[in-house]
Formats: sequence, C-alpha cells, structure tokens
Amino acid sequence: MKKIRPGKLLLTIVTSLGLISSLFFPSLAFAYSGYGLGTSHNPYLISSCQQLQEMDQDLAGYYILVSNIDCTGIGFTSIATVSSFSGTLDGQNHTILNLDVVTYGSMIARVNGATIKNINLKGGTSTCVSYCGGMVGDVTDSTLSNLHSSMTVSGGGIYSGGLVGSMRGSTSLSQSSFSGVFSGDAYSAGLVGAMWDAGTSVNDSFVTGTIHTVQSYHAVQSYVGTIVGGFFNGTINNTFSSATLDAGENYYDAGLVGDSQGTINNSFSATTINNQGGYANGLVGIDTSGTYSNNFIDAESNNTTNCGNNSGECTVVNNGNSDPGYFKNNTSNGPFSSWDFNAIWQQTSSYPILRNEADFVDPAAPNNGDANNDGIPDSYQANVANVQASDGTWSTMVVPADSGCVIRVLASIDRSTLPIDTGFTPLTQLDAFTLSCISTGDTFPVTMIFDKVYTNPIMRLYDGTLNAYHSFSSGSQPVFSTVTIGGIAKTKITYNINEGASIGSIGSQENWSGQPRGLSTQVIAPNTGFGVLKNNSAETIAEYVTAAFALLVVAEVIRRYTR
Amino acid sequence: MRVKKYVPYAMIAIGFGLIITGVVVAFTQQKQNEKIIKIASADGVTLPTTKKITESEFQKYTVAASLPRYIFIPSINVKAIVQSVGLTKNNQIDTPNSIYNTGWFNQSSKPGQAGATVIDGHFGTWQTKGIFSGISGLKPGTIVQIQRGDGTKLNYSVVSVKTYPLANVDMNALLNPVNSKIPGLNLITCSGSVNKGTYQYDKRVIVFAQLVK
Repeated sequence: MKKIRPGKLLLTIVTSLGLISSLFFPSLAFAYSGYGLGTSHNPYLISSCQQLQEMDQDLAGYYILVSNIDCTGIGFTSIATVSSFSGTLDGQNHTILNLDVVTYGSMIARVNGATIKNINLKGGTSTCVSYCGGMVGDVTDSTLSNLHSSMTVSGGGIYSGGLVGSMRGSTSLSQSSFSGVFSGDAYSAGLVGAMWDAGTSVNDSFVTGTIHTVQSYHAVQSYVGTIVGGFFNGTINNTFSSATLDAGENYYDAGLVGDSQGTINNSFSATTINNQGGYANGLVGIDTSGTYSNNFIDAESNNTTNCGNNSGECTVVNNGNSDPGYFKNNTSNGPFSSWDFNAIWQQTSSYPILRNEADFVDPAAPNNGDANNDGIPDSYQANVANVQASDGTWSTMVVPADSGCVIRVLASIDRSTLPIDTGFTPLTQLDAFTLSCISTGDTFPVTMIFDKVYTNPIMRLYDGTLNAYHSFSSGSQPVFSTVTIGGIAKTKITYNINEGASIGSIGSQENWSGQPRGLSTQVIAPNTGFGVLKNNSAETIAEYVTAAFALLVVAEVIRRYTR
Repeated sequence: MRVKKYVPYAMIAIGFGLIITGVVVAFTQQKQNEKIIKIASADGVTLPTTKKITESEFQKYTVAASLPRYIFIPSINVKAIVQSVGLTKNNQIDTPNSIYNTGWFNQSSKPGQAGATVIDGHFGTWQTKGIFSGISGLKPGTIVQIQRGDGTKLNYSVVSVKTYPLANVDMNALLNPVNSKIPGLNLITCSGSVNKGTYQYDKRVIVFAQLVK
C-alpha cells in the first residue's frame, strides 16, 4: 500500500476544506467594498459604478442596486467574460447612466442560471462583435425581466442585440425594451440577437429607436430584425416594434424578426423600414419554418405589404395609409385583445407602453430632485433619501457619503396610528429609516431637512417597545437651523447617531433601524394671571391717605404737647 | 427748642406729600393696567371675567359623565365648576373664561383614569384674586375632590407643591402623574411677580396630588 506523506495529507486536507468553504461561503474570498454578504437575505448593495464592476469577483452573488448609478466617464470592463454569472442582479427599478463598455461589449458577457431584472440602461455605449448584447451577451437557462436600454450598441456583430445577444436553453425575456441605436450584422436585432432553443421565449416586449444593418460576415443576407434577428427556435408573444430599420439591399431584414424558425404570436410591426432592398418584409425577413398566430404589420410604415416570403404569416393593415392610427390609442385592434392591459401594458395616445416603465421615473423630490442641494440628483445618491408624508410635506435624510452607510429605507409613519404624545403638538409625521453600514460602532452626523420652517420645533422619537415617545437624551441634542434651498426656507436638523453592534456573521457590518422620529412643539404652561394683584388706584390712594392722616394726627399731637 | 417748633410743620408737609405721591402713583398704575389690557388684546388673549356665577348656575352646570364637573378644596374655600380647555393658537394650555372657574386640559387624562388630570385656574387679576390664588399654600395630605359628570366623587391627596420659573416650567411633570401607577391630579396657576411691561406672572406653581381610595 502506498504510504501517504503527512505533509501531503495535510495539504490535501487544507485544500479540500478551502474548496468546500468556498462553495458554501464564496464571499469569504471576496472583500466587497460595500455592504452585504452576497446572499438573498443579505445581498451586496451596489451604489456606485465601481461596485457594479466588483460583481466580477463573485459571479454567484446576490446583488441589488440601492440607487441610480452614474457611470459617466468610467470605462466599464465586461463582467463574466470567462466564467458565467450565475447569481442574481436586481436593479430594484434603478437606472445605470452612461455605461460605456470598453471590452467585450456586454455589461455581463456570459450568463448561466441567473436572474437579472429591474434595470434601466440609460445612454451609454458598447461595441459588440458576436453573441453580444448591450446589457447581457450569451445567456443560458436564465430569467431576464423588466430590462430596458437606450444604449448605442455598435460594432456590427453577429448574433448580437441591443439588449441581449444570444438566448439558449430555457432563457426567458419579458416586459423589456430597447430604445437606443443598434448596428448589427447577421442574425442581429434591437432586442435579441439570436434565440437558439425551444425553451427560449420573449414576451410582452417592444423595440423603438433605430436599427442599422451592417454588412460584415455575410455578403448578401443579414437577417436583421427589431425584436429578434436569428429566431432559430422558441416563442415570441405579445411584442411590437415601432423602430426605424435601415435595411441594406439584398438582406433578409424585417420589421420584427430576421430568420424565423420559431413561433410568433400576437405581435405587430409598425417598423419604419428605410432603404429597403429586395427582400425586406414587414414581419419576418425569411420564413424558414416558423408558425404564426394573430400577427399584424402596418403596411405604410413597413413600406411593404409582405409579411414574409410565404403567405399567412400576418394580417396587413393600414394599406395605402388607410388607417394610420390602427395600433394607436386602443386596446382592441390587432393583437391587443390577447394583451394584458391591466397589469402589463398601458394604453397611450400612441403605441402602448409597459406599465413597469413608470417604475424607473425618479420620484418627485424637493428642489427638482436635489433636496439637499449638493448639485447631485438624490436618486443617484444612496446616502440621501426623500419621503413624502400623507399630508404632502417632504422630509430628506442625509448621512455622510464617507460613513460607509446607505439608506435602505426611509418611510413616513402616520402619527394617528400611534398613541398621543402628551404634552407635545405634532408638527410633522414620523420618519422611520434603516441604514446598512459596512462598519459598526461609529458615530456620525445625520442631517434631516423638512421643507418648511417650524416654530420652536423639538424632535420626538417613538419607542415601539415601550409604546411611548421620548426626546433625545440631554447629551445628544439635535441642532436646529433654518436653511434656504431653491428659494424656500426649510428647517434643518443635525444630530449624531451611533451605530450599533455587528449583525453579520462575516466581517463587521450592520443593519441599523432608528426609532421613528418627527418634529413636535411642546405645550406651554397656561397664563392664569393678569397684572398685579394689589395696587389698584383706590387701594393705593387709600393707603397713602391713611398714612398721611396718621402723620397729621401725630403732627398735631406733637404740636400741642410742644407748646 | 426751635427744632421742636418746626417738627409738626414738617410732618404736615410730609403728610401732604404722601397724599400727592399716592395719587400720582395710583393714576400711573391705572395707566399701566390699561396698557396691559391693550397688550393682552393684541396677543389675542381674552381676559377672564370677574363676575361670579350664581349658586343656581353652579348647580345647573353639567358635563359628560366621565369629565370633571366640579372641584372642591375645602381647606382654601375652593368650590368651582370645571370647564374643558384645549390649546391656544400659540400651543399654550388655555384657561377658563372666569377667574372663578377652573379648566380641565382636555388632552390630559379624565378623572380616575391612568395618567394625570390637569386642571388650571386663575391666580387673579389686578382687580381681584382668582379661584386658585391659594393653592400654593396647600400642604401634603390636603384633600382635593373632583366630582365627575356622572356624580362620582374622587378624592385626591396632595403629595407636593412646586414652583417653577416661567421659562422652565416642567411640562413633563405637569402632564404626568406624580406616581406613575396611581391616577394623578395636577393643579397649576401663576405665582411670583408680574414681569415689567407684560401682564404675565414670572412663575407657575403646580400642586401634585394622587387618587386615594
């Protein structure tokens, strides 16, 4: 029997333990610069472009965006260019501004078994070559939803898309859109470059913007579409395009799908097709082996009455501009009867929009979205938060940017649901907040701004455990001042908070919730007296007259006895 | 001897001088009081009436069952109705409309309930003393009786009497029972001297009492 050396055995044991621990605790080897452990319970919190880049260090982690992110001027290196991203990225309806991908072309190059959702790419650029999409490149067995992009994706790649490059396995894309500028070659499109497998699907999505066809790999055919370029398998349901397609000559380009071999249902093309060559069609560039149900094209905008190269792929409307508003401002024409206008789509005066697009609109905060007046939109700062109370007043909370804390929650609590704070008249509702901090035990100042001036305010805190209010302790009184922001005088309060103990099992991090607090004014003692009790005119005169009379009597007595 | 001769005349002169001084001071005081009335009016303060209610009006006075109707402090001859008062626009506890009535602060506890029942009463005006002018002299153990609208009589025993400068009245003490486990009764009125140029007294006195069985 072969003898095992002790040193080698020890090395084997240590290595095995390390591998096992990395499987269960991958973040042990990853010192994320922000808060979080990368689990669904304690996700990594992304609040900067630099932290977004750090995703490459834990491709299985759970990530959420806690604010909009401004990547302007930062050259972004694609994530997961070698191994695939298999975790979760939830944008929580936040926007990534001006993401310029300088390598590989996709924000996340390879994706396998992941969930990516609720993200808006606003502006930005990428150069795609193949299997590349502005947001995600080559995607397998993953769920993509509520993803939107207005990027400029160039490069003329194949199997590339403005949003998604290539979909495989059981990958699904839903409630998403592309509204930027896309330039692609063979089997490319504004939304998805190529769908390969039967389990792939695109549902309730649309494309606007501009699609350019570029001849690079194929001398004649390009099969460029707006929704999908190379539709080799899978299902497309409830989609539309109102994009502009600059189709080249002799390319099988189309208003919706390039090369169609899958199933297309309940979709329509209102694509404006320019520079049409000999084979540009309204619905599909070439119908290789597709199946179709309840699809439509606007003949006028598509500049053709051909749905595809066969017959029966779709119904042609607005021929000769007979009904230009056919797909606009209604929920019944064309495929709309099969669409969900209650939960997913919303009718407008023009083409329908996805209801989830409204989730990306920044809430109206004071001072045009910069309530703390630091020149940066509050929606792009995870250390600033605004909340509007039920009575319409706003309050703003600011923690120092270098505190290592982000404001996870800032909510307004209606005082009428709580006991009366005896002796105090409320001026504002209560604000409840939760901070996530990368350190513990620190003390730092917090600033709150209320959008009006209050007289003699006092900050009162509500202790839910005791079901009673209290003020700050005598050693940590808040400092009140008046500040003018946007021409409006406001009440500003600064006070210190002390971070609590660690809650993380790894490292020293903290989720810290402060007691709900708001402004009140103290009840004043009554005025139960007026003027001086005595010394009215009559009493004063009587006293002096009495004294004078007494003196006169004494004087008379003295005079008589001194004669 | 010559000095003795002039002493009486000096005293007569002093006497007339005192009379003249007294008249001047009296008129000056009257002018000051009129000024105080003007200041109070400008502040939106309604001066309490000094008209006493009749015994018939006293007996006819009613309130809801659980609210305080009468207050009795036999040791200082207090027998008064209890009106309900809230907050003024300046967030100040309001006062009864007569110097002979008292006011229950309607954000405080009702008699017999947990917490403190807060009742204020006037110390007085420059014309006459108010119903609570004598509460600063109450001794521990003195009984104060509250009769509710439903006829229930509640006896409270004085625990302590404290005086505060107007700028530092302990509102937390006023609005809470002296013993957190026993329903309290806190009485408040003015004391001290009138701040020059104002009509306000510079102190407040609070009587802390608690319910006894």
